[in-house]
Amino acid sequence: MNKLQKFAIFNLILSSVAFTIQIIVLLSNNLLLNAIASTLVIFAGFPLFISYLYRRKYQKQGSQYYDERDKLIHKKAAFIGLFTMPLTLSFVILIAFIVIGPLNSIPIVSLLNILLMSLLSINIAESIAILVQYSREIQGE
Amino acid sequence: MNKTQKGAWFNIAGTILIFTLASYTVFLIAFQKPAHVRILPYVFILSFLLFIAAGIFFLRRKQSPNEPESDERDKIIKQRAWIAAFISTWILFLAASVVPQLFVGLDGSIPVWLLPIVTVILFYPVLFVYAVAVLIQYSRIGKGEKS
Repeated sequence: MNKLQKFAIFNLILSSVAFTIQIIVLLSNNLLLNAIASTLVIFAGFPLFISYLYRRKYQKQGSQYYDERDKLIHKKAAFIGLFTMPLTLSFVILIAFIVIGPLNSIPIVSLLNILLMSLLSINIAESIAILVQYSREIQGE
Repeated sequence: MNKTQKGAWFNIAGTILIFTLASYTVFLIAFQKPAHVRILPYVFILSFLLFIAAGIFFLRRKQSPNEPESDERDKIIKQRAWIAAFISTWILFLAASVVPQLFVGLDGSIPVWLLPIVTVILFYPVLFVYAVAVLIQYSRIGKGEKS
């Protein structure tokens, strides 16, 4: 397992935990719990950002650490991650339409939860895509 | 003017027109709440899809043989513009989720039917940012070539 895969696993675990917290908070409909959880999730963004900076630093170290194959894998993963964002947004809104009903209301603080969920979904999808592509490469070899 | 620039102008015109109309409708619903206006936002969602379809149809193909081909430089310009658009997406979505809390308060609520409308409306400024980023980069290149 190379360092890029380790970064992906770290990102996946952290983002999945934060995503689960957001789902629980969204369903709980408690204002205080929502405020605490949203702050925690925003703070979870810092390790994710530091992990991203480390990855960038690692990528700049040279072709022996980060070659064309890695570049292609990360490019594909980034594309998949970005594609997931509108899908997550649409899915959450669809669920709200079905479960709550279009004429009913949701708390205004839920908007931030939905935003954070779609942001985290980018990271989750990107990390999964990186791990799947590397595992396929290993199987191919 | 190449395909990318034409597309950018097309996007600017389309986004200003549709975004203004859609925002005005949402404003009407929010403050006057006439029942018949509620259907209009869905018409704007449809118009947004038509706008994209028209863009693909008219701008993907070459309009005249004199039109320049796109090269590596265009590719870099587009990539940078997408990054600008992506950053603007997050700023806009963050603003859309935080700013209403300031007006309505933390105890306030939002109707579910408004969620898809707000989401679609927010993509107009994103498209606008993309188009402006493209045109600014081309204008800089143009100035660089002259001097």
